[in-house]
Amino acid sequence: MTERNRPINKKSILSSILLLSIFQSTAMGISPGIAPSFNANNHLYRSDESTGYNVGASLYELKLQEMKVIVKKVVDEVNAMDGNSLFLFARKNRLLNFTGEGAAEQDLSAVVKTFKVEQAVEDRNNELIEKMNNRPLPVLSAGQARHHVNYITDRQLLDTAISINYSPATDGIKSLREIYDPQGNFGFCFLRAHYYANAAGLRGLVKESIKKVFLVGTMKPMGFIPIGTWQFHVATAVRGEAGVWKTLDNHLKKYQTKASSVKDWYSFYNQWLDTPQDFEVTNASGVNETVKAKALFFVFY
Amino acid sequence: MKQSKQKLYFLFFTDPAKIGASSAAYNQEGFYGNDSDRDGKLEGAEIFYNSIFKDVDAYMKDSKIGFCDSDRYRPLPITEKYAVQA
Repeated sequence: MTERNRPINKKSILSSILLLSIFQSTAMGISPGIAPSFNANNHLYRSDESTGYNVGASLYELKLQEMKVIVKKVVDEVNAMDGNSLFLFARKNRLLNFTGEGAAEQDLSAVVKTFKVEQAVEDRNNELIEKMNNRPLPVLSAGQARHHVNYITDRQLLDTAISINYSPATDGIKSLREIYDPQGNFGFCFLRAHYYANAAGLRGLVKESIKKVFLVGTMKPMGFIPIGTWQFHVATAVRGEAGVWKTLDNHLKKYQTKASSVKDWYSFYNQWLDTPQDFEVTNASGVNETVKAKALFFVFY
Repeated sequence: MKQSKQKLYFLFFTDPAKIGASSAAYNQEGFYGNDSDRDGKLEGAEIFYNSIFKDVDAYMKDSKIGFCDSDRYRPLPITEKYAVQA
């Protein structure tokens, strides 16, 4: 058999093509390794008993049930206080106006009720955040430990936060707006949270370290934007350094430049964006009362 | 207790064990938790939200991040690329 008549070695051609593609892809920075297949179910751990909420729970209803208990307790407590106790409490907590003296007992009662309800809600939220921060990190199996993590660094958090700018999940992306909201009526926090939960999971954070965090209340935009209030905001939370839950959220852009704990994220909305709501209860005497208070409910979900 | 009239679209997922690999799962009313009136089917605004999530998922599917990719939080060394099963 002469050189010309040698049959073409297909195996060697295929091997060459494969090696060439590997070289090219490596040179371009693209990993030729097998990519984990995407499955939207994989990025959230849904049956976490720490939150006490079942999958599919309505957070509005849950908040109403909890608020019913909180407000009734406060109303009955304050109604049992005499005028002097009310005055001392209001003075101690700086609830009196500058005139101080002579404040009507009824006005004081309403002011103290509002204060106590708001304080109770803040305490509830902060206790929940503390409880979640104190949970041990999930244990990785030997297989997981090779290419998964159970928490991420601040640097990794910020890189993930910025990655949304290159996705269709940003409010400013024209294609998304044109299809779903040409009039500009919606905020897409739920979409961004969905993106972030997926993004963190695809990058190798185990799903037990990824959660959604909801704020349920009546929020208003900052500044003089002439729109009404909105009822909830949602972001993705991930376990960060020292096991602290950190926020993945590009609302207002502030969380793409500085890693923020969930506690700080909640505190910001609580302080600057929440507005009072009316809560009606029946007090111990059977009389209906209305308490006006800010009650931004925080939920890990 | 006074109740807000605003609808609230929650993100919750059905039991993962009940979702198969078929893409038809994405159309089930429970997959993204958009069945806010819990009538067992998607309609109106629920379809709207479901479609948005599906679009983002479609983007995520195209954004393949390999086990050796530097975007991973713990990327595998490039030499191990063939040792990992998807």
